Amino acid sequence: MRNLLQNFVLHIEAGYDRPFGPAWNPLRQLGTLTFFLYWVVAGTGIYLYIFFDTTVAGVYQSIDSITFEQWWAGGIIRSLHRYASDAMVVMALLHLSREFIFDRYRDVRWFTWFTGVPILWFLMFCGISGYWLVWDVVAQYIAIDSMEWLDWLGIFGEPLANNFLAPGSLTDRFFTLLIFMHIFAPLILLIIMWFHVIRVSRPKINPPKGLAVGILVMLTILSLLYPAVSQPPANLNLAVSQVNLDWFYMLFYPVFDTIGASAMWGASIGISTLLLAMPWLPPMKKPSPAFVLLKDCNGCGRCYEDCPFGAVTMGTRTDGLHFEREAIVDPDLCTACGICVGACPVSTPFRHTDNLTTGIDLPDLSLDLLRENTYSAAKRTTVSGSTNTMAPRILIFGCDHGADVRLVEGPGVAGISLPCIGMLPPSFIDFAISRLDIDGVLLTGCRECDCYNRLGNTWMDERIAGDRDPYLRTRVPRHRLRVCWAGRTDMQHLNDELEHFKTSLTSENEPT
Amino acid sequence: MTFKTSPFKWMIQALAYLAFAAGIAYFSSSQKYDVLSSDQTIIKLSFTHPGQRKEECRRRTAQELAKLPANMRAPKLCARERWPVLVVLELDGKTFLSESRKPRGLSNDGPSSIYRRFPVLAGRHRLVVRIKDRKQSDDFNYTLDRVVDLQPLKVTVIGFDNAKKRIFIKQ
Repeated sequence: MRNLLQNFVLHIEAGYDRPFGPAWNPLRQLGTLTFFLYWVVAGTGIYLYIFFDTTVAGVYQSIDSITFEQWWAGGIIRSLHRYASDAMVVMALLHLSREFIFDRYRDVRWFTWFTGVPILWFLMFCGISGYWLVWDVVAQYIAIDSMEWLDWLGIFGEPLANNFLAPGSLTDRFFTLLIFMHIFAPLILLIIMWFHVIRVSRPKINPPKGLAVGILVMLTILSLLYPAVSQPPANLNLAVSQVNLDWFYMLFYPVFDTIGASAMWGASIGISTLLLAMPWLPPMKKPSPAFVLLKDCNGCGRCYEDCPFGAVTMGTRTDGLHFEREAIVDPDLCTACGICVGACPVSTPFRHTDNLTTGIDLPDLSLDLLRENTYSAAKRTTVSGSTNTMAPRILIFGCDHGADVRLVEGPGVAGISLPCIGMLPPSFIDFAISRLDIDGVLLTGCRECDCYNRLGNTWMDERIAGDRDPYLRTRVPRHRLRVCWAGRTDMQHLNDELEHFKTSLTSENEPT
Repeated sequence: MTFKTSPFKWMIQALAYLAFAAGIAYFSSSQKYDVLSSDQTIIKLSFTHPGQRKEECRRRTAQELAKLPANMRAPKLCARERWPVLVVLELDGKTFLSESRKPRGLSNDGPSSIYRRFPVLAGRHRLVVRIKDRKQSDDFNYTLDRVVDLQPLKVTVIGFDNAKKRIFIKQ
């Protein structure tokens, strides 16, 4: 089921990749866009607060004045405030769904998921309390329903809904309290959002500038063409008959009207508990974490620099060797992606040793085993090869989360899959070409800007370009290396790239 | 890998933004929701009223008073617990609500509160409200029986005036 969903999302994302490009694809920037929209809502909210009147008699009028008497500023800002909050809900929910679909919420990612759930609660509270402040018929409807929902708990003494019994029941103090809550809740929301990313190494909280501008322009145009306005003023003498609800925030109210307070409480608590518990629900996957071999670790800190989950720290040397520091792995934070292995300068297959060790390694796929796999894959390129001696021998290094490299194996082509392409030390490319007589190396992995392990393909691009240690040596002829970032559903793209690569290598091999 | 843009791609981007904006606008306020049909109205029943004490207060005897410290010699001894308040609401002879509300507080010594909201068809109705704040085997001690003309969408509040000890209807 999850695979089907993943394929569905990957196809949609591929559709967005074409016009937006991988870096600007909004579906891969859902978290950063949520942050960005928060700032838009906060900024516009500060402006609106300046003109807001907190008296029962003046509240509706003050919002109307902001909307119509200064439509060129307050009117647009009010609309931006509303539409950005709506967009924020969409982004947050899509972000949550995407992380669930791609199974990025278990194991070391539990904290990010767990802190994401209260973000949704506070986001809802912020939006709903904001709608109350307008004090129109929508506010009247949701205020009474909300109070009745809370009253079911029976902990407030006087029923809270009595505040909305008749016109005289509501006092000015109510709106003072409400504006205080509407300002205070977003501040708590921001703190939780900060906690949400605190354990992420190099958290990305800002979207690409172009995408941010695009969203802002879109919201501004929407505000100009379809400005947000109040509905008729609240009147507690009259029952609310028909309202235009904001379904992003008020979907629960018709449900509440249908199922009642007790069932609504049951559903709210049940869904929240389920969401909070999801990282620990079966099937659990816990790969064996990376480990440090002090005899091979020189404390250079590259694994520490490259780890996308902050699982590696540098500590004082404990083995008496003359290096100052040593790498330390926190098993609770390690996803066993192997990026640290690819970053270690000792991870080179050229060393003449039967048991190839390195400074930091994976128990399930050691560097030694990776070299063995490379040897056997190189052998497969000959064994499975056709009689055509001119056919190039190609080795494909891929990742377990991207296009399946085993599916493109064929005459002269063999593939090796790693937990992440970032695990591959660049020296293996050199090794395959210079020692194993491989004609070409094709690197593949998750789509650009969509690495399952966050930074694997970014680091690999930088290592090849010579921008990041360990570099791919300049002696490696670049025309014998090809990079093709391809997701699970991009097999055709990988096949096409492989065919182009074969053609280019064949023309190189042909005698002139 | 370098992404190459083109006017066509910009146009598709604009369309994608447009679709998103249309979705936001549509679900933000364009969809109507019928809370109540126009031939209905709302009755709200809400009041806070303390039930009678389960035991009557009695005067302390002189011996009892003498045993107490001087600053605690209150002449009356009252048990704290109160009876729950039972409310029955009938509309055109049919029982609409029959609910017993417990007194608030850990010792069940506070007032009982109730808040209920009912949508009903507008028009002339016979409304009977009965409240009992004493022993359950006793009769209702407050009753209001009235024919009311409920206007569409007009909120009618049924309450209890603790000062005048009577049920009231406010329209």
